[in-house]
Amino acid sequence: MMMDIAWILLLVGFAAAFLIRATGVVISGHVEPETPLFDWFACVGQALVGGLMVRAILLPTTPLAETLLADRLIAIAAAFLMFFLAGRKLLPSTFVGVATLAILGMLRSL
Amino acid sequence: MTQAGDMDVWVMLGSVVLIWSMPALMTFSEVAVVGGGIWAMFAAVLFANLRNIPMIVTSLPLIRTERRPGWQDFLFAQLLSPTTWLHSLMDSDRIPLKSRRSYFTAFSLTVFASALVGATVGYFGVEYLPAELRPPLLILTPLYLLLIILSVRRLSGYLSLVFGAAALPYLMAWSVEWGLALGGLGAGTLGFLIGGGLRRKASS
Repeated sequence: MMMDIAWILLLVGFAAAFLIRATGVVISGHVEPETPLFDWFACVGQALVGGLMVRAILLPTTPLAETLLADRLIAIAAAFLMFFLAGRKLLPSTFVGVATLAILGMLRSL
Repeated sequence: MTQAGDMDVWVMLGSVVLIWSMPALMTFSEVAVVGGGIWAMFAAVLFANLRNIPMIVTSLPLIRTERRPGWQDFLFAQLLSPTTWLHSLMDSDRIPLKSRRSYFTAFSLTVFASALVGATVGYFGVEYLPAELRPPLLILTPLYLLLIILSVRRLSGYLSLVFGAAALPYLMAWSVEWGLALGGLGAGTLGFLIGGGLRRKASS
């Protein structure tokens, strides 16, 4: 990729990204916590982020696609199980999910 | 992805600093690597970054002491990530209002610095990682964020997550940009209404 074009594209990407963030700042000046409008924005945020993350796991465009869908589902189940059984601890639960996927992958390649 | 697309390491690091949002970063990399034009880049990053609006709109009212937006708000918005956002929703009540901006700005900068280190290590270190470990590591970020969302204990939030998870993958297969925008708005609104968002506030 030519360097100059890459930097121009990066500045264009930054302009687009900052425009969205600035829009959020302006809107936030009209929203109070503990109001239905605040809760609605939080719900839309959780739907967007959650949906994107589920898509990243179930329909990955990264090398994660090299793993089996069944293995990814088992890894998620293991992480959720750990999360709800062990006091909602984030890091151990995430580690269990990653380790489960790695172990399943290694077992299948034996 | 960036190394495979022959992107310079400084452009890659610049994209992390200036764009700082996973969907928008992945979009930037894809459009840049396939040689997309300026307008394609602008539109793609704009839509991919839409999810930041509800995050910023619900984070800033929790941390600021003045209603009128200032430069610190724009700085905080630029640094905001899903990790900081979800922690601001979960933990704001436990931090005095006057300390929240400093706390969450420091939190954001820590996440930001860690991401820069991680991006650099990933760019140069991926070839030294055992091949069978590379794909499993890519589930780490989405899994961690899903678990953080589950930590925000609110029925409307859980329902929004479920509806978003069910709708977005299919809608984004139809149109990445419009599927993201319409799916997020629809799933979030449905979760808010079924979860009693209006009723709860009316009764309180």
